Order: sequence, then structure tokens, then C-alpha cells
Amino acid sequence: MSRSRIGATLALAGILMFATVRAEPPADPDLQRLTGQLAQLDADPSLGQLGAADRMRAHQALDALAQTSPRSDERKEALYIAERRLAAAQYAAQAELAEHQIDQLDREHDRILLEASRRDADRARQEAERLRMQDKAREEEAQRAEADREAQQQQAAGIASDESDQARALAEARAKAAALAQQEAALTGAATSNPPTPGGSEPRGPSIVVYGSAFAPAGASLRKDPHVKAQVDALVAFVQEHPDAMIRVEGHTDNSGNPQKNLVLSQQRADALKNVLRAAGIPASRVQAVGLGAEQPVASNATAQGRARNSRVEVIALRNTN
Amino acid sequence: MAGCASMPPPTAELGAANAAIAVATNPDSQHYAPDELAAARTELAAAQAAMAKQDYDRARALIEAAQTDADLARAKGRALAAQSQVAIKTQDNANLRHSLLDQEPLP
Repeated sequence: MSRSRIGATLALAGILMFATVRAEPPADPDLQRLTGQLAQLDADPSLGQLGAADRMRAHQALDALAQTSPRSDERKEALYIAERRLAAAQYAAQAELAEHQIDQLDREHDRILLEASRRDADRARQEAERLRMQDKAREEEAQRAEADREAQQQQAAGIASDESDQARALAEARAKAAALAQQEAALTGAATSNPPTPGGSEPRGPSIVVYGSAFAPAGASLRKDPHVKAQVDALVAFVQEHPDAMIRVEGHTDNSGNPQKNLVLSQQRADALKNVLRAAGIPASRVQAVGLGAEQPVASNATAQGRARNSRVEVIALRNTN
Repeated sequence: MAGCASMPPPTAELGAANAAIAVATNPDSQHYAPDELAAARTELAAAQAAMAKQDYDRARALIEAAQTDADLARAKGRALAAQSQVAIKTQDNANLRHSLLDQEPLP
């Protein structure tokens, strides 16, 4: 008798832990089992707050089960109901948990797509930047190559590597050439019946030369540079010294590159100087501009110095052949 | 004694159980809880038979069983369908991470 009372007391204590106070101590294992499972669900950290409505019904079903008398038909039915209500409560809580997880997974899915598109954009930006840098490097390389070529041409002209010295020297040379030509013209004018020119170096008449370094690399525009301007001034002075002569402007190139392009370039440079003369008041009708390409070198094209001398525009004051 | 003659017929409860079965007659519950759904329908049919015999106590017990099984079928279908979705979406996200972000897929 006392043993069963202790058992009943323990069972009551168990039930009290699970929140529902019973009027009578439930002595059957089914009720204890279901009550324990429901308490477990309540205590579950992830499920404890979920499926509240179904859980409420499970508690009610367990209460009803506890009210029935043992081994009655009612009790059998109440047990069936309690079992199913408990299972429904468990499933309902699991359903809510899983639905919450689905929400999180959907958000994560969106985040992944967003991150992927952000990375795509970053990659595109980096690629654009890479191409831009590549382009810039190529441009710098081209500028270096031009600078090298100009340096070689300046060296070839036998002029100090300092550009201003070189240009000044060139201008002086032009002025001297112009003076000599003037002198020569006077001499030849004095002896028109004597065709061979002094030294035989200028069979067609006095001339001066504008070298390719005065032009933009591979172009026909004169560089904007005070020393180039000095050469242009010397050129104009030279032509003005020969007011009665027809002026022939002959463009020449070195033999590097495409012959057809060289021909075009030599013509364009000759035309450029003709325009300069016209701007200085020399009538276009007095000036004949021709491009001869690389066909008439004055030095070997094998060396940089030679090529620099070959790339030139000769301006010739044609002797009156009459 | 349970068979109290003054108790009215459980018409409202019958309607509620019927509605619960209707709710549980959804694809998820039909797929994941066919036995529970079948039990609910059987119990409801038996309850209606008991009603016809004016055995209201029996009808009331059967209606409660039908309601309970219908609720169980609904909750079970919802839970298992959602858990299946969780598994699918978890794998989807892992694959997506792998293919778009070059991250290792989850084991």
C-alpha cells in the first residue's frame, strides 16, 4: 500500500513538472508517456513556440485522457485522440520551423544571385580598367618609339642631342645655306651661260632642306616648336631671296615602311611647306610641290643617321634654264 | 452514463469535422498522410451513420476522431512537404554558390 502511494506521488510530481495539475494521480504509463512527449515539445528550443493551436488541443486531449477511468471504452477513445493530437502538435511545430527555414533559404537564394551579379559587374569593371591600362601602355610605348626615332634623327643630323641646340644649329645652317645660295645665285646670274653649277652639288639651283624631324612623326604637320618655326622662317627667307625663281618643293622619305605610304607622306609634307610659303605671301603658282617617296636617297638607309638625312623636304629655287 | 438523452445532436461538430477533412484534402496531405486522411473519412462516414441512428454519443466520439485525424493529416502533410522543400532549397543554394560564386558545395 505504501509502495503504491509513493509511486503515485512520484507520478504526480512528474505531472506537476509538466505544468498541468491533475485532480487525481494518473497511474497509467500511456498518460505519462504522452505527457512527457508533450513536455519535450514545449521545451524544444527550436519548436517550443511553434504550432500553438495544435499544441493547445494536444494539452486538452491529455487532460481529457486523464479524466477517464481506466479500462473504459471512453479511455480507449481518449487515448486514440490524445496520441493523434500529440502527433499533430509535433508536426505543426515542425511545419512552422521548416516554413521559417524556407523563408531564410529563399532570402539566401536572392543574396547569392545579388552577390553573383555584383561580382559580374566588378569583373566587367576590372576588365575595362585592364583594357584601358593596356591601351595606355601601348600609347606610351608608341610615344617612346617616336621619341627614340626623333632622338636618332637628331643624332643623325649630327647635331647635339639637346633639341634646342640642334634646332638652333639647324636654323643657323639654313641661314648660312640661304646666304650661300644668294651668293651663288648672284654668281650664276653673272654667268648664266655657264650651266654647270659650282661644285656640281646643286645642279638645279640653290636649295635648302627641311628634315623629317621638323614634322610630326609619320605625319605632315610641322611640330609646334620654336626651333621648327626658325626653320620655317629660314625657308621663307630663302624663297624670298629668289623672287624670280620657280620654287620646287620635293618631299623624300627613308625606305622604311610601305612605299606607297612613303610616297603619300612625302607629297603631304611637300604640300605642307607649299602652304607655309603661300601663307608667307609666295604665290602658289610659283611653287610646285611633289612627293618622291624613298626613291632618291642622299645617304644609306642602313643606318639611322642615313635614314634621318633621307627623310627630308628639299626646297629648290629652280634656275632659269633660259 | 455517457448516453445522456438531453444532449442535442452534434450537428455543428459534424460540420466542423467535414470542413477539417476538406482542408486536409490537399496535395501535400494526400501525398504524405493518406492513411490519416482515409481514417478521418471513415470516421466521418461512421459518425454520419450513427447520427442517422440517433446514436449521438457514438456520433460525437466518431466526429472527434474524424476531426483529430483530419487535423493530423493537415499538420503532417504541411510539415513533411515543408521539410522536403527545405532539403531541396538547401541543395539548390549550395549548387548556386558553387556555380556562381565558385564556393564549395555543402557536403
